[in-house]
Amino acid sequence: MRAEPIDLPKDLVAASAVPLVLGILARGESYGYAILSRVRELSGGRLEWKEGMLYPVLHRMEQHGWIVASVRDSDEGRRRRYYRLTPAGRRCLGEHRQQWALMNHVLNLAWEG
Amino acid sequence: MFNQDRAVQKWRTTLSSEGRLTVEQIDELEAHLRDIIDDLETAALTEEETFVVAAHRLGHPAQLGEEYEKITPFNTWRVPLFWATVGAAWTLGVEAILDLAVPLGTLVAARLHLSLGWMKAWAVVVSVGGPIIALASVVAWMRVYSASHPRSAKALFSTVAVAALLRLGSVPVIGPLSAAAWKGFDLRTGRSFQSVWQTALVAGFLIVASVGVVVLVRFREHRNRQIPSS
Repeated sequence: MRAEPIDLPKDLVAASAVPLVLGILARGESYGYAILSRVRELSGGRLEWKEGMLYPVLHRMEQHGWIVASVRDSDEGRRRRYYRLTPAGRRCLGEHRQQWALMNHVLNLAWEG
Repeated sequence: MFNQDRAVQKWRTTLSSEGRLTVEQIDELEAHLRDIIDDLETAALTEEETFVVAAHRLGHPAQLGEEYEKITPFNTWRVPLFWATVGAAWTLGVEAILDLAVPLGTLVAARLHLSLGWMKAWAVVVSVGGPIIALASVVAWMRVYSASHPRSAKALFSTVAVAALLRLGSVPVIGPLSAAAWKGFDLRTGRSFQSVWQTALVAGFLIVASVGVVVLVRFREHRNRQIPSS
């Protein structure tokens, strides 16, 4: 059973894309299609990214040195670009986690406390 | 009969139009497209429907192009800039060849004992004909090419049009200067420096015009981007 995708504001999608991709790649290398599938799976189908838009994000992350890509043929004989986290990417993920934890904490206090 | 490989090939051509995306970037998107197609195989769709749905999920080529443009802006400008340069070189070439026709025509006119008026008329025909030939040839070529390359066509046409207009506008300036140059024209050797500096003048105009067109188009694109899309 898959939930209906939720329409999120563009800014929120853009802001959360990098920490989300960093988090997914922290568990091992992956490629575009699999990253998107993982996002869908983690959100129970409520987070739906525009598929082609992931690659410019990956490209930007590559330029920042947070991830590196290597092109290999997959088992199905499909040429794929696999992305892997760098030490700088791991540090960046740590910073993102702190920032999002803080935001989460403050928002919870403001709304419920 | 729908042919999936041919459809994918056509889709690739649309994406690579005007060099916005590199081959590696398109390869990556194609692998993704084929993954979606595999994913959809369990659904009760025809091969053609599967392709259409997969391509739609990946995003419209124009939209993808815009996204990639943000990360590699130079890719978008490489091809149109190339055609603007070709346009400038083409106009320059046509006019340089026609400029050679001025002293040659003068030689013929002198042999036929025609008046100086005939020579002047010939010079005007050449000055006006150059830009018209350059412009007409570009328009004819654009009819074939422009449909799939709107940016390149625009860049090429603007360069040639601006160059042609400048050249036409410069006829009243070049005319009297040419007349002055012809005063020292040596019929026996047929030597004249006129075409050399005329060409240099046109080259100067063209460089200024090309830079102007590029700056204008860039400014417009930049301004268009400021307007938030709904």
